[in-house]
This record gives sequence, structure tokens and C-alpha cells, in this order.
Amino acid sequence: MAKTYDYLFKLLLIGDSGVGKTCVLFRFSEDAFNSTFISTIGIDFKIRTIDMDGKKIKLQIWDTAGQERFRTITTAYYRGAMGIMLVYDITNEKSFDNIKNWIRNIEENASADVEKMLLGNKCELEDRRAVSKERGEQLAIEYGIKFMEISAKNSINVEEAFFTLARDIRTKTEKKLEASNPSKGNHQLKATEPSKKQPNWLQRCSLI
Amino acid sequence: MNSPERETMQVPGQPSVGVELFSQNGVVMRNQASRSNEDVCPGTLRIVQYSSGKCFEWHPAVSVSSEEGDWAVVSKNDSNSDDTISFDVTRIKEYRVHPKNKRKIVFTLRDPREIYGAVFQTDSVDSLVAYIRQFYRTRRSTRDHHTYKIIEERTERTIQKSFCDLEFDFTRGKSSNPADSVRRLIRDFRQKPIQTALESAAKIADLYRYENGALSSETPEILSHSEESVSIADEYQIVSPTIKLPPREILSRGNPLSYEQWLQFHDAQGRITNSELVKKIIYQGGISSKLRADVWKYLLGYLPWEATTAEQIEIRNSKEKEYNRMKLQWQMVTPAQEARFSDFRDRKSLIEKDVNRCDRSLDFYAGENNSNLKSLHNILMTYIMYNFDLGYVQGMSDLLAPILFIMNNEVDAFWCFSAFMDKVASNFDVDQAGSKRQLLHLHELLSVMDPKFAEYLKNLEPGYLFCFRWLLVIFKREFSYDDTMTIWEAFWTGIPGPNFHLFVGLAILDTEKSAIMDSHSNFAETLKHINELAMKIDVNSTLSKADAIYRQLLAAEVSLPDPIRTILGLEPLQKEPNPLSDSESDAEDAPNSSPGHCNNGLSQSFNDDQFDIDTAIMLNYM
Ligand SMILES: Nc1nc2c(ncn2[C@@H]2O[C@H](COP(=O)(O)OP(=O)(O)O)[C@@H](O)[C@H]2O)c(=O)[nH]1
Ligand SMILES: [Mg+2]
Repeated sequence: MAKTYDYLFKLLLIGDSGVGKTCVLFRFSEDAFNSTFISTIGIDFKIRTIDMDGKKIKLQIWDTAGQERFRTITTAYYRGAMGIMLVYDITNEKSFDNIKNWIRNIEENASADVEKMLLGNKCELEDRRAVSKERGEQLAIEYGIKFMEISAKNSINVEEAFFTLARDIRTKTEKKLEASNPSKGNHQLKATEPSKKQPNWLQRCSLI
Repeated sequence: MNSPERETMQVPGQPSVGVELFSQNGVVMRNQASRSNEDVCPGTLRIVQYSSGKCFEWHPAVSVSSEEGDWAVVSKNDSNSDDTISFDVTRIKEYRVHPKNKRKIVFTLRDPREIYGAVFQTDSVDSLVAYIRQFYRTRRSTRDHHTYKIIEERTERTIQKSFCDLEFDFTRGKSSNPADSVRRLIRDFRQKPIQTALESAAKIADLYRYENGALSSETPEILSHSEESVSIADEYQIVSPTIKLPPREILSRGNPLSYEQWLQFHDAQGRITNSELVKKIIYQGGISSKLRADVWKYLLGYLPWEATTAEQIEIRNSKEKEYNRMKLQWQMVTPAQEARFSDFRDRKSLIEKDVNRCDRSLDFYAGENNSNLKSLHNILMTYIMYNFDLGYVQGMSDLLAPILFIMNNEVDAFWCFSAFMDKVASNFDVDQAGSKRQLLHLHELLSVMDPKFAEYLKNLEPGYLFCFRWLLVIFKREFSYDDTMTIWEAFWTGIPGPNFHLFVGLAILDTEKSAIMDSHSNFAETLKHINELAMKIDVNSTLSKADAIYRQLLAAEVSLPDPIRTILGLEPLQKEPNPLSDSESDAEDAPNSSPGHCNNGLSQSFNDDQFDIDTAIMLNYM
């Protein structure tokens, strides 16, 4: 079967239960919102292939259960991730405070050079806002990562967020490839390349 | 290696000429009891069969005494006795494979001045160990799991007979002369030692079983060989011995318990007269839906089967009071209290979020301001007060929603739910130990049922996690409400044993085996495949298959290792070894002593320190 993409990136959505991770993913993969969504048990993932400057990038996005209790299960998925979306709910202070715990979790379980991004979801609920945009920005600066406020419900910035993360991963990947393989130049890039260090399920995955 | 195997050279009158049974180059060996740390160069370790018996021989360097073509004739006399090591196998008291380094083995002889340590420079000691176990009965020491005592040589009859059963004869030659079989076996050991050991040991075990009719007291010990020889090769691998299961016998499902039947089971005072039969009917066919609200209360133990109508009313009244008292407790928490009670606040907010996204597509829970959502919320909040240690964990709303749907009443739903929770509480352990254990059990069971498939799934990183959702909410996300209830009802009967839900999982895996294995699915694809089965699985054929697999394993009961027996709800064959037991006495244990004193090889290795649950399900990222 011919390969239908140039890159495969594995992304992960994490954050407290109820911040809207599943809805964000559903918005990005199906462009829809369903307020009667069932809570996530265990893990699932969705695929969407995007076009970026003439390259096809297949995004495999993993959605996890948020409750602390399941952390030992969900962290099993951290290590293969190339990008992680940290999601909080702008109407829920606690979910924002917990971002630092999620960051620590990433540091302990994900690979050191994983691209991260901070997302404040439900931004259309201005009247119920509990976390100002400035605090979100400030926290992102602290961790040296990008930040956006989004709304899965009103489809605000969801596309932009995933494209931004995918672009950053791509840039990083291509830099690494050039450094390790300068003679071959840009045209020899392989989608499987970034998975060299990844567990073999990801490797196999990129050969579908 | 296509060369013919080395053969016995019969030289009349020369008893010192033997045949080499095993040979390994690149082995460093020395007597740890007598020599200090002097350098020893690598040499060759052999097992040589003399007319007097089998002998371990180690020669330094590469010099092979005499080798012509495919023949290796070794003479006892032509070795330089200073540098060589040689001892009869019968002099070995015990051996120990280094738990962390599979290339180190130590032989302790009966003479305490002789302790031989051997290091294989290139290979693991597997093939040697497999060899020893093939010819000697060994017993794992209760004091040290890595030490095996050599009990006695297996009798000629046993070996020959079992070798004839090993099928090497039928596939590889016309002759079924036992001697030929032995040679082939030895060749097989060289080429694929682990597999050969596994097959052979399993077959010997079979032989013991079927010859003796009932369980021989040494069966578990023999079985443990095959298990152990694999775990030596791969320390976190747990592969059950190749156990022959009887054919699977699928019975079609029965009819659900009917109203007429249910009436007939009531006596004049309202007691249920034959609860065992009721359970059996439910296990085989479920409960007709109008009866569920009534029957579930008994099935879950909220009402005792033997309670009269008057007693039921009494119980119901007192349970209602108790519920309302606990409900009042959380309802009386003031906002000011709540502000200073983050644990309570967190649980409450989690419940609110989950109630809002619990089965909302179902009419019963659809729409805003639905009073049933309020009941869901109340029950879960009250459960916090009832079980403060556990509180609320995601997944619990999934277990409650169908119960509330059936009971349509907060009090009854609460008590039935809490009874269900009692059965599955370990799913919600803080450290997820219960979930991990169940995933491991699933793997252990599949290893007995279908070792190849089990091995395949185990190697998917991170292992069996794609079954996590199944077990956490007992298949509630995989089936419609009605089908879920049928599965739960079967599970609640406790027939045929405590872990029926694992067999539902096995049945689904069995059905999906080719979809997963033939397409060489990786973890992500397998997870996707499994997740997408939701609402597409046929409940009746799945339950029939689950039942058939359960009975299939029960029928092979005596050959199952204790960990599997325990999952099935059977008594372990051996008691847990007493950690204080005298290590000397167990060495001398006669093979036919009481089961309580027998070696507990398999269950020990399942609990071995080399092995933990995480590695078994390959949660290597955790
Ligand atoms: N108003 C609003 N609600 C949202 C938004 N995204 C998700 N939600 C709601 O938040 C709740 C939790 O969403 P979910 O995706 O299940 O959260 P998860 O636990 O992080 O996966 C659901 O009731 C959603 O309807 C959003 O952008 N705006
Ligand atoms: Mg979710």
C-alpha cells in the first residue's frame, strides 16, 4: 500500500477530567461538537492527516482519561508522544492549577524533547471565566511553551492549535534529520525517521 | 546444524568411553569452594554419558579430546586432571541460575568442598538447564527460588515412553526406537532448546497424568520445568506450560428466567426456594427484562433469598433509613464547610461532570433537568459517605446507570450498586493494582488457552491495556444496555466461578484473533479494532463461548498451575510454601509426601521476584 503521508506524529491530550479534551479532539477530527459525550475510560485515539506546505502530516492523537486515579495507566502512553497538548478549562481554576502537576508528569514520563503546548478551553464562556488569559500566557512563558485559548464548542482556535504544534514538531524533526544526515538534504526525509527512538509499535504504525 | 547427531559408541570392555550429550564452548568454570580468585580461561563444558552414568566435564581451552567428523568420543582418561573438572551428575546436590545473569550457574555438590561456578560467555545456561531437567527430577528450593535440588534421575521407562509420545518420531523418521528419539531430542535441544524443553516437559507431564489417571503428586513439579525454562530465557515472560485442553464444547444459551418460573420459585411466605437453580437459569439465559428489578436484588445480595415477604419489607425499610441518613450527611455540608474541604469538593465536581456525560443519549437520562440525572448524582454522592476511602472514581457512573435504570428508585439502586461495587472494588484501587492484576490474569488465561496469541498480545507495547475499558466497567461500554445487563447477570451468579468476566474477554479475543494477528496489528491498531467493536459484538455467542472456555479449563483442572486454578476459583493444589520451613527437610521430601509439602514451583515463579505485574503486561512505560 502506498504511503499516504510524509510524516506521522503522535500527539497526546492531557489535563484534568472535564476540561474538554475529548471534545477538542472531536472538533479537530470530525469538526463537530457533541455536548452529550460520554466520559473517556482508558484511552483512545483519532487520526487526521493535514496538509502543511505540500507535505502530508498524519496526526495520531491520543485522548486519555483525566482522573488522577488512572495516571499509572495513562502515563504508559507518554513516552512515544512527540507532542503534548496540556488542556485546562478557563472556567475552572483547579484545572489550571493542576497544569503544573501535569507538566511534572510529562517530565517524569515523556521523552525530554517532546513539544508541549498549553490550551485554555471553553474560552467562549467569558461570563464564567475563572482564569484570565494573562495568567495562561504567563504560565506558558514560565515553561517556555506556546499558549492559546480555544473553544471546542464554538470551534475557536482548535485548528490553529494543532497546526501550530504539528509545525513545531516538524521543524524540530527536520532540523534533527539534517543534523544527522546533512548530505542527503531535505528531499530524503522519511516519515519513519522520528520513530527511530520510539517504541516499535509506533514504527510499525508509520509503515501502514 | 544439519549434521547427524553424535552417537553412542559402544566399545565393549572399555567402560571409560562415553558419548557426549551436551557440549558448550566458551565456559569459564572453577571450584568456588577451594580456589581463590585465580584466573581461569574459558573451556568446554560437556555432559558425557558413560556406562556408569552421566558426568559433567569441563576442559580448559579448545582441545577436544578426539573428534572425528560428527563423532565425539571422549575418554575419561585423556584429560589432564589438574585443569579439568569432572563430577558425576549424581553428586550434584543443587544448582542455582543467577537471577539477574542468565549466563551464570552454580553447582553445589554433596561434598561441601565442591561448589562449581560456571559462566557461559556467549549463551544463556538455558539449554543446559533444560537438559538437566529433562533427565533429572528437580525441585525448587523453598528458601531460594533460583535454586533447584536434584532429586533423582528420571527412570528409563518414563523417559523412553514419553519420548515416544513426543512426536519427533512421526515427523522426522521411520524409526520409533527410543534411542533415536533421544538423539533427536538432544539435537532439538541444541537447535531450539526452549521450545523443545517446553514441548517435552509438557508431554512428560501429560504422560504422568494420563498414565496415573489422577494427579500424580509430582505433576506440578514437572510442569514447573517447562514454565521455568522459558522464564529463564526471558525473565518477565510468563508462559504457561503447553497444557492440552479438551475440545471446546459450546452450549447454546437458554431462555431468560420467566415470570412463571420466578413465581414458582416462591413459597407461600415469599421465600425463594431454590436459589441455586434460579442462578443456573440466569447464568444460562439471563432474566426477562420485567423481572430484573425484582431478581437483581437477590442476585446482588441486597435481599436474602430466604427472606419472607414480611422480612423483605423490614429490610427494605431499614435500608431506606440508612440511605437517607447518609444522603443527609452530604446534603448538610454548608458552602462554608465545602470551601474548606477540598477532597469533598473535588469528588463532588467530578461526579457532576460525569453525571452530565453519562448515557445521555438514552431517553432515561436525556435532556436537561432530568430527574434521573439528579438521582444518579445523589446516589454517587451518598456512596462517597458510605465508602469514604474509595470516594468516586470514573467508571462508577457507568456501573450505576443501568442499575438505576432498572430499579428506577434511589434507595434500591444505591444498595444494588454498592453490592456490585463490592464485587469489583479492586478495579478502582488507588494504584490501579486491581486493574493491572486482572489484565495479567487475562494474559495468564490466554497463555493456557492460546499461547501464541497470548505471546503476540503481550509483545504489543504496552500490552493488554486495550482491554482496560472492558474490565473497568465490566463490558458496559462494549454492549447495549440490554446486553450489558445479561453479561452482568451471568457474572453476578458466580457461576462457574468468580472471574467469569475475564472469560467474556477471552471469548472476544478469541473471536477477534485472526483480525488482530493476521493483519499484524500493532498496539494502536489493536486498540482501535477493539474499541470499534463496541455495540457490534453478539452477546449470546460471546457468553456461550466464554462459558465453553471456562468449562474447557475446568476440565483440564489437574494440569493447571495454581495461579490459574485460583483465577478459576479452584483450591490451589499446594499450600503456599511456609517461609520458615526448614530448607533441609524439603530437600529430602519424598515425592509422594502430602501435597502440602510439595514443591510449589509454578505459583512461586508467578510470584517470583524476577517477575512483577507491570512487566508481565509490558507496561514498561509505567
Ligand atoms: N461550553 C463549553 N463546554 C465544553 C467545551 N468543550 C467541552 N465542553 C464540555 O465539557 C464537558 C467535558 O468535556 P470532555 O471533552 O468530556 O472532557 P474531558 O474529560 O477532558 O475529555 C462536557 O460536558 C462538554 O460538553 C467548550 O469548548 N465549551
Ligand atoms: Mg475525555
